[in-house]
Amino acid sequence: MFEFDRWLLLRINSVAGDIPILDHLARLVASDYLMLALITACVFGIWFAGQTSAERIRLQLAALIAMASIGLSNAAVWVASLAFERVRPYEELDGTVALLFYRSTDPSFPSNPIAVAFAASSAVWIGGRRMGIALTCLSSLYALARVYVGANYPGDVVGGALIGLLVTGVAYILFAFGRPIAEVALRLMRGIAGA
Amino acid sequence: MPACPVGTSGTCIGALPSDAGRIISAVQGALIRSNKSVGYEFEVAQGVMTRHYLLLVFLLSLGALQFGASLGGLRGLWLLPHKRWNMVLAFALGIAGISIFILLPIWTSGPWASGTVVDGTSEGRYWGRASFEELSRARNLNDIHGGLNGGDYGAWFPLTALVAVGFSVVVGAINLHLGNRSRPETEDGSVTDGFEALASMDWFSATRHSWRALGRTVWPDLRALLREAPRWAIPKLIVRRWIDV
Repeated sequence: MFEFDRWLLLRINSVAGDIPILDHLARLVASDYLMLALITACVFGIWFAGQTSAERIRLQLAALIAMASIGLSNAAVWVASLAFERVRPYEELDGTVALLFYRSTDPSFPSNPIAVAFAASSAVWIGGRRMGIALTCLSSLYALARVYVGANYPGDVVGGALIGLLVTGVAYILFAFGRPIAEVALRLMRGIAGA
Repeated sequence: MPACPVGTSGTCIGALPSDAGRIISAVQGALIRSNKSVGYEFEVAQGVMTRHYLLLVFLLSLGALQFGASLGGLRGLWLLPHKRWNMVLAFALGIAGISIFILLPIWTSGPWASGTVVDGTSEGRYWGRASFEELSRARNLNDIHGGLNGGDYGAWFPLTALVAVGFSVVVGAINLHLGNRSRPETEDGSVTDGFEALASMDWFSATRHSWRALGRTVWPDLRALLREAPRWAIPKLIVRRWIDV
């Protein structure tokens, strides 16, 4: 499996350095700042987007689940990176990977930003399918860019995505068992015109 | 003048990286082009990144808020009086946030001096402005070289989003009052609360109405929410010892 992971990384990364415009775009997309800020801003935006009372509550619950998932995904990645200390591709395959990114000192598996991106996207999916699909596409593009620039193995981003999906499932179950705590919080926020 | 690569602090004489010759020549070039001095510390670099990140998050979250508020019809938060204009403004804010964040290294000095932004590393960079060709790499900074870490993102994003809410609340209120469009009641004469109230009044009036409504209905509402919760819901299991739900 690790062999396949290395092979796939080298296939995707083999184009890096050949097409300057693609390299520039991949660096921007793979950045720690832009995509995560964009995805989190979308989660923030859906808080206000409901057109009816029922839709509003559904979207706001999805935003709350997304916030919980983002926190849980960071914790899950931390635990997973203690269990699997995988080195970065540019350290293991030094000289064969065209690195277009900085040399991170964190473990490679699982990819933390991808876990956060997928946790937020999948939680938004609970609130609305179209927005969920759009954010999942953005997260997938982010994952591909992280592999293209040589920052992660494909297995790292797939692992991060699975962790993101898993923690959203856990957050959803916690919210279900905790009902109606979130609804009560929303009702109280309505008292200050915040929900 | 000591030249400090990013990630070092204090005096940096003798702390030059192994490829010092290449970097020194690059720095000299950068100095000539940008007319800026080298020599800086980690905290300074992180301060610049934080300020730029806050601007990005403010514009992105303001754009997302305006887009959501336009869809939701929350006139009390709109920056512009018409839904369509407000949606266009929301997109423009998002695009402006991303563009400004990417382009700022051309105009402002930071740990991305022209000639020192090398592929695959954020070490050994010098203070100055980036060239156009280096823009996509300028922001790729490790958190140990002046970039932001996970804790910074977690703390700054919600705070900046709250500032965006405050900005929308104030501008939305001015907007409604200038256009004389604030109506405390709906068309059928009923007074609404929460976001429903924001559809026709500013946040300050909406909060007044919502607060009163909360005082009147909070207990029946809470009881109804508990009643609607499934019987295996933990809060329901706890409170049903004392309250009939």
